[in-house]
Amino acid sequence: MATALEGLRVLDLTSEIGHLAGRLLADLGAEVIKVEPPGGDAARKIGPFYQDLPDPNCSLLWWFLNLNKKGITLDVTREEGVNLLKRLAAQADVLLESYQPGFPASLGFDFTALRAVNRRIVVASITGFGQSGPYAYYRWEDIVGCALGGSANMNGDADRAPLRMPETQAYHHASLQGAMAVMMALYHRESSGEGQYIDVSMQEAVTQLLDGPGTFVNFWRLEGRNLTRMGKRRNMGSVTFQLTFRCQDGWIEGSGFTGTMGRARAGLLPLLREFGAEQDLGEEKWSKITLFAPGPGQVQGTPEEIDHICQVVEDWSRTRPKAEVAEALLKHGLNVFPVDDSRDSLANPQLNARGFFVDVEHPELGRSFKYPGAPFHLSETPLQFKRRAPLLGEHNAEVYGDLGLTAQEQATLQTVRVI
Amino acid sequence: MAIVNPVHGPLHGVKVVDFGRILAGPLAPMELAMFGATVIKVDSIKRPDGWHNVKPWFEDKPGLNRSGGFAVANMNKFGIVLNWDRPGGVDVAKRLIAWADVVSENFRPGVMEKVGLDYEVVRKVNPKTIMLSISMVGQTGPHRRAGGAAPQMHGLSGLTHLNGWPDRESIDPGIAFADANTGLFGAMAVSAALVHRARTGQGQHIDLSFYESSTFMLSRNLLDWTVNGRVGQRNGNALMAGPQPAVAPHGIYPCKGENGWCAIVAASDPEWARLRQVMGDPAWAGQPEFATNVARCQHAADLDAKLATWTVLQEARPLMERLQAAGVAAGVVNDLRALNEDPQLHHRGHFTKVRHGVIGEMVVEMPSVRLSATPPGIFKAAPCIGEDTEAIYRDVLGYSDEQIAALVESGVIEFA
Repeated sequence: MATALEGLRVLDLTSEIGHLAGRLLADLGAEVIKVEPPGGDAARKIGPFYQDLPDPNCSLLWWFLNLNKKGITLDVTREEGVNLLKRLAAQADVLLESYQPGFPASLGFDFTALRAVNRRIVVASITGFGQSGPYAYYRWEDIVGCALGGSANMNGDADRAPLRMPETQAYHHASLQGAMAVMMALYHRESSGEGQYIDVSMQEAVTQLLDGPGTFVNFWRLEGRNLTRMGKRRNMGSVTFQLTFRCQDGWIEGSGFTGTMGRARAGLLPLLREFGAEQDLGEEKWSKITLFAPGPGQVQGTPEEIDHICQVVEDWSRTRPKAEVAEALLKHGLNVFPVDDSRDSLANPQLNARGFFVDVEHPELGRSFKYPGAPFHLSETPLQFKRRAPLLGEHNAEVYGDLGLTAQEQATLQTVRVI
Repeated sequence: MAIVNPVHGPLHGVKVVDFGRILAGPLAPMELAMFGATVIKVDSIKRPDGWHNVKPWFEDKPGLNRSGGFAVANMNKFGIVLNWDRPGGVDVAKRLIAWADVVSENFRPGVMEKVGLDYEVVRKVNPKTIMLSISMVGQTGPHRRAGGAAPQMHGLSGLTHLNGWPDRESIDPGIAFADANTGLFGAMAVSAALVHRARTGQGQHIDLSFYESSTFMLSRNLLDWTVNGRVGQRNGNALMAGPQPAVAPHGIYPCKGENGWCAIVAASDPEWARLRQVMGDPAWAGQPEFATNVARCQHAADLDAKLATWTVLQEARPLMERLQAAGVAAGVVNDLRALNEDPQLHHRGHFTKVRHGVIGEMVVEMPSVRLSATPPGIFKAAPCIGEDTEAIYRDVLGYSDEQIAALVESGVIEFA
């Protein structure tokens, strides 16, 4: 079956912040060539590692972010390196990079220079803060993106430091934005015939995670409320609600079922009754309490009242396994799920029925491993998982050979460490 | 107003009908609208999109068209009212589908089929249509009927499990991450399908679930289980590499003043040397247990505590500026007020203003991407419910005044 980006070639010169962009384009069928310095990309040194061996070909972060890509080495700080890069760019559709702003221009491979060799090329810079402005030359880290982008302020216990999101989501979201924008630019190119330049900021990518672009900022602007983190409670200004509930072996999570959100509250009392755990919630007053905009005959719960409902639920849930609690709540029409760990995810019948996990061969290790596969399904152009992440310089001979370099020329370039 | 998005983004000319509800459903088409697509948002007065109820509210009072949450999930869209459960309603929906290049919906799997607007019907109306269906756990599989929202998905995907302090409970990350994440994947998937359609003329159906797109984002952690048999746990702000921190210091440290915090990372020994310099090289920092990154990782808790005794005496923003000037990665924790005032966001033109029919002038946020030839933009606020009903029925769908009157009579159209 065809893929969506069949026949398109992408040069990926990014560091960790931009790796996922190329990975997604590769899943969608583009030929993505990861271009690394001869010493290897820095992400190869980030663990965890296969069997905890700190080998540059064994980083699981590298495996995840560079699946489906080919890999070559090239020193772009050398003149011969830049010349080779331009020859590759002349035949490419997309180039991704995440150097400090100004660095590609100083070496002669910025968008203007690349456009001179290829009018159709789409170039995307995926950086911490974008190409100009007071932070443009700031050092970025994922946690710095969570801080300046505003997500950390909303995440964590009230009496402790703000928290980053698990697993470098600020980096990943900068990459997601980059991949999306590249495909939009490719779509535009189909009618205009022209490439263009894309400038992505991680900080701005994080602000978009705050309940959609601008919701929280508008709490401040519309209500004058400078909201902050509240641990397991969701902070919605004048209302808050508890999201996670203790069970015997972990937690379950749901939103708003302790108040009335739609018809959710209706199921709670019958459920607690079934287990003889309703305490005083059977009294008339509790049936009218709602969390959001009160309808006819309803009143908005006070924080104390909402706390009380949560306490009753938790008195019941904490003595039972999370799977049983979640199942009982779901049966009563209350949308909750267990808080799962990676072991639970791999065993989940829904993910497995849909074939979410794919086997990827690692011939150099003589083994295959289960990887999380497609984040979405395209009916006519399914995502493909063909190749584990490249070993260092694995496709040098193929890619440079296609470019017309003889074996001897390649050997020479390798000796002088250009490739 | 003509029903055309004037933003000359890369998707200018693409036509989208948005049957989405709540947050992830509307966010995907809004993303397309920011990049130039003409998007018609379908709503109902008798059964409005639930997000009209969500806070923040204008003047802190609930009501249709007063929700700041709805207003920022539906910018750049035109709005119509269509009750497809009334006689003739489904035919109107089909006319919209015939007009559109992209159809977007996030009803529970099975609902579109029941209404008679599932992909099999859509492709008969227009074989080139790209249909985006967003659901909780996917259009197929034993749990396909599951409903819910972002927090449940933070739990199910594993995000909540990994979030929190090791000596405290796992907690939700406090924002609707899964909604924003799914919405963005939706816009990305549509963009991929548009590229394919432009090259081949073929449309297709996109099956996007919260569950898979959220779980995908935790792939490194899942690989640690499938490859090494290790189950990841919450670790506060530490950047873990399997059982060990990978880098120290790596955290968010207290500063002077109310809610003053600064993220600081010294990812290498030279960066640590520069951090020591900015600190004025206190005696503790020169001790052998902090000499190398490996040693610092082994003594990370002690290091964090000692570093905090210094940061707590500094104002957050000047501290960030001094550290960055010295080449150390640092960033203040922007709270909502500070985010509004952030100089980099202002430099990027991140904030812009639109006029909303009820709320009035609103500050809204631009996409995080700039394109040189086809820049994105925000040209209008979210529609008040049914704002463009008449213009769309007449000018886009070609109904006569008599036909519109008949549709009002049958209840397909309501006017606010």
